[in-house]
Amino acid sequence: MDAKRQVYLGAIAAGVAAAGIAMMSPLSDLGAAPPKAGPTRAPTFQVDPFYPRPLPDNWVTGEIGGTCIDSQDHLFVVTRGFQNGGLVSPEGVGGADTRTGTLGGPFKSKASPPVIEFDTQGNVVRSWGDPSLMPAGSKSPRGADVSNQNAVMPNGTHGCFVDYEDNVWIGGNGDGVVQKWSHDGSALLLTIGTKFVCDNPASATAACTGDSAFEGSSQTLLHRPADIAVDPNRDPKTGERGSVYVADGYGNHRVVVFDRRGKFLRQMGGVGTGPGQFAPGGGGHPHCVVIGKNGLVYACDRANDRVNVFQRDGTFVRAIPVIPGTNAIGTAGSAWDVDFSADADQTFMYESDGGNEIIWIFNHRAALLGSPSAILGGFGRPGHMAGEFTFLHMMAVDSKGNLYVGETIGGRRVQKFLNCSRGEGRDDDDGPSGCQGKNSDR
Amino acid sequence: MTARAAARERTAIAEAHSKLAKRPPARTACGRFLLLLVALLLPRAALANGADLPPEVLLQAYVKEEPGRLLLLLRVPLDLLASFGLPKRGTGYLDLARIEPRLKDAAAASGRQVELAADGVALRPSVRQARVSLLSDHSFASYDAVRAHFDGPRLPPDTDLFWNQGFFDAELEYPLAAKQPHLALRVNVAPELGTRLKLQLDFLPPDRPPRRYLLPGGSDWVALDPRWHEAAGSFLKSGFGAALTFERLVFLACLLAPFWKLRAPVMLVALLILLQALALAAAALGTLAGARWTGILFDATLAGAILLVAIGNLAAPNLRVRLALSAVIGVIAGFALGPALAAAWQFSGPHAIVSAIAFNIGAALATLILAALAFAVLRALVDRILGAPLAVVVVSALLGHMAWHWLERYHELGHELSHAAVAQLLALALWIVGAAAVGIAAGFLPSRLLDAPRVPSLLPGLFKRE
Repeated sequence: MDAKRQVYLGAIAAGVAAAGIAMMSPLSDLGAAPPKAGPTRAPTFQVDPFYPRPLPDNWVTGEIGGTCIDSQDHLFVVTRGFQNGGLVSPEGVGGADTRTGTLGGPFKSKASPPVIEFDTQGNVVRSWGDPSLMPAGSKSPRGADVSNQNAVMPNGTHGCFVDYEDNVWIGGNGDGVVQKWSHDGSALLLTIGTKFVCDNPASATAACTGDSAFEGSSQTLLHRPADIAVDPNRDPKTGERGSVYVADGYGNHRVVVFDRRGKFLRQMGGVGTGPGQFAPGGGGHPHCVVIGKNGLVYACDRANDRVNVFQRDGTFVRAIPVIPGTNAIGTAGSAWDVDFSADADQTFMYESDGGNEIIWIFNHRAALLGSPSAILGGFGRPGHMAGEFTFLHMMAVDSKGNLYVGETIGGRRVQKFLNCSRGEGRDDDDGPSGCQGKNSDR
Repeated sequence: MTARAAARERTAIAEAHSKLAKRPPARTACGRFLLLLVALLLPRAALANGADLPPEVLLQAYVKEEPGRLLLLLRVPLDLLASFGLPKRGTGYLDLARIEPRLKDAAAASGRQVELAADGVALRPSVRQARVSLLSDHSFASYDAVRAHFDGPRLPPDTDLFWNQGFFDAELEYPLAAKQPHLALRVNVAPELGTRLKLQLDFLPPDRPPRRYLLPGGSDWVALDPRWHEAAGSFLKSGFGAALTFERLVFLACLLAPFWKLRAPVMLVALLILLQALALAAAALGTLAGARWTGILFDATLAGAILLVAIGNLAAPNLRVRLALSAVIGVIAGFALGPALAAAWQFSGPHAIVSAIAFNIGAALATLILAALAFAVLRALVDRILGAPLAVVVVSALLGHMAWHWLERYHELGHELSHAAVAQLLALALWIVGAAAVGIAAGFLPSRLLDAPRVPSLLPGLFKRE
């Protein structure tokens, strides 16, 4: 065999081996097409200062624990104003007739219902949720004091998700449950976990408080779940649609998967800083769980300033760094929530960084390939004015590519950001809608 | 059958059709009785509203005319089927394995509540398909998509579809005898919801462009392909209704109050109607299209104008000034009617010009009637009750006081104008300047026309001036 032939055969063998390795890699499902350069410019957004419209009946929203979008592009917000201590003075106290100055009575502000549904213009379509609190002296099944905790809704309502059947899922970072509600809130359809009972409690009689150093292993209990995602596609193991992924969360440190009836299937995660692990301690690690159209599972590792990406069967894919060092400056990390642009390819990945009060815009594909320049830009800064954030929290994207962002603690509001871009990142090519001014103004 | 007998039968059928065309179908005594019976016996078998419906409920439908048949593809939010007792399982999911018979019932009820008629005769539907869809199903976005939806698979029986968060989809077929039938549709779905419930209807005729209608839950018969006289009648009614308002009556009463004889009122009203017609025609052609502030602009301007005219009535009513004012108000009134015309436009069919003219005539008629009413009441007050100066003073004071309270509309107007497009504001300004010029020009008419006899003012007496 001459040398030239050996070179040819060697090159072919090397190519076959490389292709085989690539096919076995978790990233192989990113598509067979060769990587494109992808977008180099981030889409532009403009805050809509008139969204939402004035709330009826003197409602005041508390912390916005979750924001999610249904199939009609209606926004659901989960607001904590009804919770014990959910409002701060003068919320719920002040309020007067703007014509006569008459105090109190029908003019007094009050906590909004726990769940509000808005249409695309920001009008209230529906509101629901039982705001009842547990009476003083109430005990959990384990004997912990649960006085003044949410009696029906998850305590510390946190994260929401509207599934492909338009059911509304809500978690709670002060409880051990996620709940599945009908779209209008008239029926509680499923509860995963046990109300007021958490996995790995701080003590045998503790309620759902305190930090856990454990990943968590219970197949029936959760520990302060932060977020939910429901897979519209068939589960890789069971073949059934509707598997429920829970970011479990504030106490445990895992993404736990149940079937659509709430039966445990599997979990992914761990405690630490290694691949696929989540930061120890309290604070939401993982703080979000999102399933992309590419079938990958994204979970926010808030204090490790990264987003862990898994295959649906739990195989770790990679970590996408957000802004390393954010947690170290004492702002609870930079990886709070993830969502994607509305186009079929989900060209852009949006990441809410509550530690720096910025929405980061990633080149989605570049982020998955580990490119150090995956972040294309961002918008927002700490502040209280329109377009600024105070405790930027969870977000949602509608089918037009517009972004809705909720704020907790000192922000306590939801803002809408109009997608002013043309083409990529939108599901249509209608161009900017409702955006005013030049791009340079935004 | 003899030729004469056949002719007699044809005549009888034609007469029957003619009667049905004049009356809504199924409104014969027998039909009414049957409807009542059905309503009493089957109270649960109707598309009824639940207690907790969203502020807006949208039904969607396609009516496709094909040779020998008509297809109605209808989508109804499941909320409206609350009283149908669809079989459920578990915590409230629809039991899709047992739902088929009830869906057929719902489809039949849909056919009763979204009625179709051809040439004045009610059509009887047959149910081709009935199914439920997820709320996330967007197939009613186009006819091709909805056709594919009905031709595609149903939801798997194990789907967890909560009883009120999805759609009920029905395909109904109606036999058509005529080749080019004159089709009409009436909606009677939860009329108690008023404008909260709307049916978005796409009519797809075979050889003409498609038409879209947005109809309230309780509508009268709507011709899907209106003839010119149907369009004219409908727009005449719309224009009349839109212009027949209390504010206009008050303005006209104040405007005409001091004038003794008919000549000046005729000139004022004629100028107002003329300018209103011109502006309305411009609105129909797209001037100020989409401007949401024309209504509040008219209301606020009218309030200010009433107040000024009322004060003028006490001082020195000047016909020349009033001519200019009438012209300006006419222009603003015309543009204010623009949105009503735009809302009615869906019923114009291919008769755009006829419809626009009819609407204009309707608005002019309403203005004339209001002016006549105001003039007659004023004359009665002057001649029979209060006497000349006192009647004008009392009327002007009362109406001026009323208008004073309406001035708060300027607050809203300011807010709306702050969002108005500059180009539209400029266009309106040009129209107003033009109208004022026309009004001023009218002031140069021969003085024998303008020196109209007026009710004497109280001012000379009050201030001892001659």
